[in-house]
Amino acid sequence: MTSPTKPADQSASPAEDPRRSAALRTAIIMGLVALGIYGAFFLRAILNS
Amino acid sequence: MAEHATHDTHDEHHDDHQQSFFMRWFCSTNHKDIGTLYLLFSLVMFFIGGFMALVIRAELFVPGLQLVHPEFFNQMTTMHALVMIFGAVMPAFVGLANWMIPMMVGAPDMALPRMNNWSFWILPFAFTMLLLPLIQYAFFGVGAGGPAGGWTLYPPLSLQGGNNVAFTIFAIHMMGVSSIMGAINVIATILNMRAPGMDLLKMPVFCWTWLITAFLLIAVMPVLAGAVTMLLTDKFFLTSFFNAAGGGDPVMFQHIFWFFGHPEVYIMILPAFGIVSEIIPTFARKPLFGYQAMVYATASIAFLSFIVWAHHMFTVGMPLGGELFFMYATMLIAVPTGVKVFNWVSTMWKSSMTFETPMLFAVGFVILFTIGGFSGLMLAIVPADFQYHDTYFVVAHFHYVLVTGAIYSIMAATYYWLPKWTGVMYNEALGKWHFWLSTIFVNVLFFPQHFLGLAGMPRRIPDYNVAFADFNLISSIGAFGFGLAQLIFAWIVIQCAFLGRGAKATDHVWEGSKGLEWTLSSPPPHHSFSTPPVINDKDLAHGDVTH
Repeated sequence: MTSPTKPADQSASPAEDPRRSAALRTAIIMGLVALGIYGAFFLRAILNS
Repeated sequence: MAEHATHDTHDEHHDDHQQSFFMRWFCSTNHKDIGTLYLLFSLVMFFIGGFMALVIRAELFVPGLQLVHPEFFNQMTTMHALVMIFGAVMPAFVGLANWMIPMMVGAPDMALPRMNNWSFWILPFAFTMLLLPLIQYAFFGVGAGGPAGGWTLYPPLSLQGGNNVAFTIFAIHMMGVSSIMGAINVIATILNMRAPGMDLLKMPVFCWTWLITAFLLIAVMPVLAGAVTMLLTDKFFLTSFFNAAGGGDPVMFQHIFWFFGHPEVYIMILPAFGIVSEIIPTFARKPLFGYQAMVYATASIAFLSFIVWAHHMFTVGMPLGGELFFMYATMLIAVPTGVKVFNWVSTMWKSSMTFETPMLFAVGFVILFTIGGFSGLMLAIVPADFQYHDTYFVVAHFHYVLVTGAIYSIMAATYYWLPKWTGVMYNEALGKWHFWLSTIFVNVLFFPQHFLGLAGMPRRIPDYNVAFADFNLISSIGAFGFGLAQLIFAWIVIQCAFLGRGAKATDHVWEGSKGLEWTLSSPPPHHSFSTPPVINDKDLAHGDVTH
């Protein structure tokens, strides 16, 4: 339960915030999970039918 | 990217910067503007769905066929549900998440602002697609109308709808993409963009409930997408996933649908729990009782939501062991939900409460949602469910959960945060009128439906036995009263958001409010926390829980 790392430059603009690259990584992982679930259900149904 | 960075840096120093109407509302990457768009979209959809509900209740005012053809009635029941679930309740919660989560965790904006814009702007196209067959039919007499097989889209009935099936399925895919992108943004914002010192167990409960809801969305929206894609191929590409004549299994659709559908119920209520957990401590002027228990109860409810889906289909025929499992698992949900109700009541216990409109809606939520929860427990009992299934008892149950649960929480949240968003206080007297008229009429509307269901009146029918006439009459009067009361809500929102009428709101707005969002001005600056705020535990609603 730790807080995220403090940005090196607190006055940086939102777009330059280094936390954004970590956020992008999180987003890509979650997107792949969603696609994986969609594919898995579809595959399961195809194999089942 | 470089251009965007320059633009943002510019914004930091010019919060009142001028953008053209098109750039501000169509190309916005600002969480507040996108939150506003979501909330306005949701309000419009609430009135469209509400109008459909009034068509239904007008037809059911007295026995016999009065106003609309049975086919059109079926379209109304189907579209009312789809519009309210995917167009009103879910976008309202995403709008609230957009507005509040960055401010609550001390972030400058949502983690992925461009995706945020895309998440919203998919929705108007999705709902145009969904509503188009109905609009063509109702206003121009073209085509066969909208989907009429119920929002659950059970085959083979739903596949008999002609080309509107393709429109509906495409719209559902678009809504799913929108919801998943919104959920990803919430997760990335909460996990990666919190201000230093904002530990997870110091976050407002609203952020916690939304974080868990976002994981639910990512887990189940692809399942719905898979189910409707299979419906599409069954309809147009001659597959037989759910076609018994081709070796498929229609019951498989019900299993897949409800594996999505039950967590969906919690997607629509967990953020409501978060909202109420913010409002009650503010107006009770006490910290939330059992903050950590609230978080763990939310997670427990989310987990249990995945293992109860077949309670929606007890009558379809399943082994006794299956019925027992799903019955007991469903009843188990009452435990963490009971923890929540206990904690809300304990927060209010011996507190210095005042009853401004947000608190009235929050207390109304606790009482009326609990009634919906109890009827849910009744429905969980397998032998009883065989009688209740597909009756008006079920309609009464889920409307207590969704109207006096989800929608009451959205109303409460709007009154609670509207002064922060707009910078002006809403009209408290009108707010109280809205609450009391809504609460009286919503019970006149839905409570008699319990009796109708217990007496055996089936749902989704345009005509009924004269034995059900009295309670239907009362219910329809309640529906029109409730519908008219919502015009007060719309007027209050217009007054604050568009006309700017009302006393100037202070930054703190409420005497007992705590949390980062209240440290900002009312209305807040264009970028909330361009510089991460310094977190003082005493300023947080839940700052002392880890000590």
